[in-house]
Amino acid sequence: MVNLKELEKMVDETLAKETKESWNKWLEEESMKEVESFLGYGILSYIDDCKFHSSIQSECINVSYVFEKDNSDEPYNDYKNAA
Amino acid sequence: MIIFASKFETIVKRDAYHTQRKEAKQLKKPIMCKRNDAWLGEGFYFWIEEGDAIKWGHQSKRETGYFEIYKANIESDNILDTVFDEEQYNFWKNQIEKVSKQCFQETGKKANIKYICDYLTNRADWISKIDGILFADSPKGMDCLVDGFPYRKRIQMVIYHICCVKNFSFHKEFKCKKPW
Repeated sequence: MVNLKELEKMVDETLAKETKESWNKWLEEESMKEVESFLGYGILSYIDDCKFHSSIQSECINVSYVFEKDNSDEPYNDYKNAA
Repeated sequence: MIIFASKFETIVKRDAYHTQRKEAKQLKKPIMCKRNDAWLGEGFYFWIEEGDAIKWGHQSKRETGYFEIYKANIESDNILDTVFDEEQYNFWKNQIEKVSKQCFQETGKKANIKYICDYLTNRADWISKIDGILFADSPKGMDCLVDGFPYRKRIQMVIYHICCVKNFSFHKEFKCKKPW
């Protein structure tokens, strides 16, 4: 069960230790984390997009090969799932 | 929601839905959200209603043109319930206001959602004591059956510890619709 008294104590004890300097330092650190996170997220999204499109392309190539050979339905199903 | 209670413990089981953009391979576990605007900080986010998970996909998981919904059972007796438990809701609201107020008094700056959530989960270390938080936002009624009447809650859950996520599996796939 969630222990509200314990959670409240944790917040109160943390707040009691804060000073103007520690607040400002914390806000600055949070702001830096935000920038880093934004940059990281943007770059990772771009890489993920590239990976996705390249995997779709390679699956399409495999599928066209399968159609020519008319081997089995399985790769076609994979293609359907990916598309 | 199912509650298993014994003399020693109470385990709450909830079905929940996780939305992600479609990738070449299906997921085996949920993806941790690190978005700056994530309401409750870094964690694994789930919707309680499938309909909300689908709407979220159309709205925010559009990068590849398709999105997937995964289903899981969340098992824990240690999730802060700010939606249905009045005491826990009041407690949560008070803690947020207490931290925000002191921050503003000391610095003259207003902390944003992420900062406050980080403060509670990491700086005050709630993450070591709870498995997650259940919360609801205030939809404007656009998605409701009754126009303009926000009678239903849009409920989300953030899970901080993946061990609470059981039976995570692919559920459905959708093609993204035009934005509404």
